[in-house]
Amino acid sequence: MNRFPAHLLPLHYGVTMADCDETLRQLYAYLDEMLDDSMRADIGSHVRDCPDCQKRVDFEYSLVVHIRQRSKEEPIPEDLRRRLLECFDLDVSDDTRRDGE
Amino acid sequence: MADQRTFADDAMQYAPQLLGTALRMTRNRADAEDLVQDTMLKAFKSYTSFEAGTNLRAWLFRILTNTFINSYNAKKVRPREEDLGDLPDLFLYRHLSQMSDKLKGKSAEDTVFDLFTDDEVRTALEELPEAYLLTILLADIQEFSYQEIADMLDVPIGTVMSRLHRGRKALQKSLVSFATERGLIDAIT
Repeated sequence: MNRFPAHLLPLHYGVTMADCDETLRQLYAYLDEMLDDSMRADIGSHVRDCPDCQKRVDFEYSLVVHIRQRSKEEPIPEDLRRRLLECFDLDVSDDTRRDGE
Repeated sequence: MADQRTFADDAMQYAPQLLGTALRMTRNRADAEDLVQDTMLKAFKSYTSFEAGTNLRAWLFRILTNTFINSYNAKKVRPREEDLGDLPDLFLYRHLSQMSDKLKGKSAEDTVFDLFTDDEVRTALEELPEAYLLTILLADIQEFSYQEIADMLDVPIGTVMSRLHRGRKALQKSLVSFATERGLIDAIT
């Protein structure tokens, strides 16, 4: 896969300026904070100057946050909490194997 | 070396996150609760081998994921990865230009909130092929790094990245179809 090409560019290219195509290719790596410093700076400066890319970044970010908020945690019901705490009271030398182990 | 006597105090704080993830993995509450219990019991039994000071949360999620893969997924039928075909990037965003007037002029956050019900988000996740589902749950929902996920699933980091990439596109495709059904996005021509 060729998602992080910044380090492959010849040095004499100097400071590159990302365009919309490059930003689209790197958008998720940018949101995931997986880009190296120089690529992140290139994409970041393009996004600040380009309202279209800003909207794309905002949208993808909002979507991930929206999905995360709805699935990250689920309160532990009291009966499950009790079952879990009972597990931890087992004799630790008990080596009885359960099914599937 | 971690002390088994402190396990409940150390690990129970992560139980709600484990249950949230288990619900999406198993798609039903009884299995999800059993999966969390199995995970916690395994973690408790091997807690003396857990290296104190390393990432307990990542360790618990690794056990959860592997327990699910080994014991829970065989009975579930999911779509296969290759059935999804090829999808363009930003699949959902590209459809916004065709959005109905109901959503025009809203912020990204409000648009996303108005586009999908909680049930639709849950269904879209649960319908993903397993490899994509697990990667998205660990990356987008639980915010583990690519490297942590590669370690948990025992796959190369490039595999994590491509599954995440394709999984997000597949998720967006489902969300677009829900929004289209509700008339919020014009049917794809």
